[in-house]
Amino acid sequence: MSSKHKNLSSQRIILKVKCYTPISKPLNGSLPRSNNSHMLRLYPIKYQYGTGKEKKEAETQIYLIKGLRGAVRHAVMWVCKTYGMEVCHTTDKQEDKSGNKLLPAGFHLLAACAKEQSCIVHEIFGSKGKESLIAVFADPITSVNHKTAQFDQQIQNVHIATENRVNKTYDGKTVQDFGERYFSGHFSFEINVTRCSSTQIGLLIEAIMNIEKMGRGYNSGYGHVLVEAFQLLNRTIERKPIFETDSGEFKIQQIIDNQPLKQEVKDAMKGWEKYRELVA
Amino acid sequence: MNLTLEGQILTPIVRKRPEFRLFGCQIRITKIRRRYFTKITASKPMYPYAYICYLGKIIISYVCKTETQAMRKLQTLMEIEAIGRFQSEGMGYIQWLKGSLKATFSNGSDTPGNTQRTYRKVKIRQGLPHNLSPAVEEVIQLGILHDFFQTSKHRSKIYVEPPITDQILRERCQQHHDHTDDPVIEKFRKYDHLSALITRKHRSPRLSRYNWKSSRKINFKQLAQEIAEVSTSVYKLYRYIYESKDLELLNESLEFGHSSLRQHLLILINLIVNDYQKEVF
Ligand SMILES: [Zn+2]
Repeated sequence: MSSKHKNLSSQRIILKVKCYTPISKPLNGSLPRSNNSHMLRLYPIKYQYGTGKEKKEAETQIYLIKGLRGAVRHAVMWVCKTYGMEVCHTTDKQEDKSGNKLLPAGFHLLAACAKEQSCIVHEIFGSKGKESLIAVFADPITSVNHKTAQFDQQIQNVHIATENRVNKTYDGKTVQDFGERYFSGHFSFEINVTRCSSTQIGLLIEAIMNIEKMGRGYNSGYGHVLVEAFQLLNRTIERKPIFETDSGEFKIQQIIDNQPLKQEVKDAMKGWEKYRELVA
Repeated sequence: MNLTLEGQILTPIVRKRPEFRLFGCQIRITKIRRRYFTKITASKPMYPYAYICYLGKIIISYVCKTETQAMRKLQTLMEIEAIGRFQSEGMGYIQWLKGSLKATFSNGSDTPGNTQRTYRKVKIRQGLPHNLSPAVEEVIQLGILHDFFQTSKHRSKIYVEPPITDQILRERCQQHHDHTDDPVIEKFRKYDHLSALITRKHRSPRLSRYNWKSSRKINFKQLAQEIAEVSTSVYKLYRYIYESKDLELLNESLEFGHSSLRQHLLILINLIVNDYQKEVF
C-alpha cells in the first residue's frame, strides 16, 4: 500500500470548476425490487437557520454527485478526437456478446497503447494496474429551503426531487411506472491535478470548457451541463494537533489556504497547443 | 505509546470489511452506514457491479515505543485524504477531527484486558470424522439436503427435488424456513445463517441459479438422482458434495451471483463438526 503515500503532501494544485445544470441524474444503481433509482445517499446532517438570536435546528440528507470523473473523461476523449488524435476509449472489448460494436471509430481499446507509448488519456486516467493521475471530488449536495441555512461542513445547496415516469404501450396501457431522482442548480467540483504535467493540465482545461453532459438520459434532455467558470488554485492544507490538557487528547486544527494561479493557466494552455500540433 | 486518530468519513470508503490494516496501523470503522457503489462497464451495460462501502467514523490506532515516533506517524497520518478504492472518483474522503496519545500497558493495548480480535478461516475437511453421534448426523443430513427442496421462500436450488423416500427428512427440508418446534431444524438454522453470512460477499443479482463462474449447462435431473442415491449415508453425501463440480457453478442466493452452493454447504457442515468436536454443539 506504499503507492498511496505519494498523495501525502500538504501542497496541491486544484482545478476548480463552477457549473450549472437545469436537470441532471447522476444516479447510483437501483436497489433490488425497487422501481426507484436513487443518487448515492450519504448521511443526515444537522444545520441551523434563522436570523434572530435563537437559531433553529433542522436535519437534511446529503448526496454524492456520481460520474463527474466520467464526464471529464468523455470531454477529454472528444477534445482529443476533434484534433485527430487516437486515444483510449473506456471499453476494453471490440464488441459485446450479441455482436454490437462497442468501440467507435477514432479510438483504440483501453490500455491498448500501454505497450508502446501511452496516449495522453491513458497517462491521465490510467487503466487496470495503472493508477490515475487525477482525482475528481465534489462537495455533497443537499436540498434546503431555508435561505439562512448554515452548515458545519462544506455542502452545496441545490434542488433535489423525484421525477415520476410511466412507460405506456401504444394504446395507452400502463406497463411500468418508475421514479428517478434528479438535481438542479449551480454546483462546483474540483480536480486534483497535482501530479499532472503542464500539458496535461492544459488538455484538462480545454476539456472542462467543453463538458456538455453528465449522468443519465442525455438524449432525452437530461444531464446538460453549462460550465460557467474555472480556476487553477494552489492549495496548502496544514493540519496541527492541538493538545488541550495533560490527558493526551487532542483536536485537529486545519488551515486551508488557496492561491489562484494565473500564469500557470496560460502556460498550460500554450503547452497543450504545442503538444497537439506535434502529435496531430 | 498508543496513538489513536479519529475522523469523519465524508464519502463512502470502498473496502470489503470495516476493519483492516493499512500504513502499519489498525483501522476500524464505527457507527457504520452500509452503502453500495455501483459501476457499469461498457461491455456489460445491463449488469452494474455493486461494491460494498462504508460511512461512519473512522478510528486509526497505532502502537509504538517513543513519543517522537508517535508524533512523526501522526504527521503522516493527518496528511491522508482518502482511503480505499475509487479515490479518483471522489470516494473514501475523510476529515480528521481529533485523537489521543497515551502511554500503553505492558501487553501493548490501551486497556489491560483488551485483546485483539482474530479472524480464523473455516477449514474445509476432505471427509467427515468417524465418531459422530446420531443426533449430529441428523442435523448434518438436513444441512446438506436443505437447499435442494422447495420451501416457502425459494424453489429447489437445483430446480429438481431429489427423489428421497424418507418422509420425515423430506418434510424437514421443506419446512426449514418456517416456524416449527422441531429441535433439529432449530439447531440447523443457526449454522445456515452463519454460513450464509460468510459466503455472501458481493451483492450482484442474478436471474438464474447459475453463478458468474459457470460456463456450461448442468443436467439437474441427473444431479438430483445422484444426490438421492447417496442420501442415506452422511459420509457419502459429504464426499459427494466435496467432489461435485456442478454445485460449484450454482449460486447460493440469487442476490449474490458470485456465491457457490458447494462452498455454502461445506462451510455449514464444517461449522457443525467444529462445534461438535469442541463439545459446544
Ligand atoms: Zn491509449
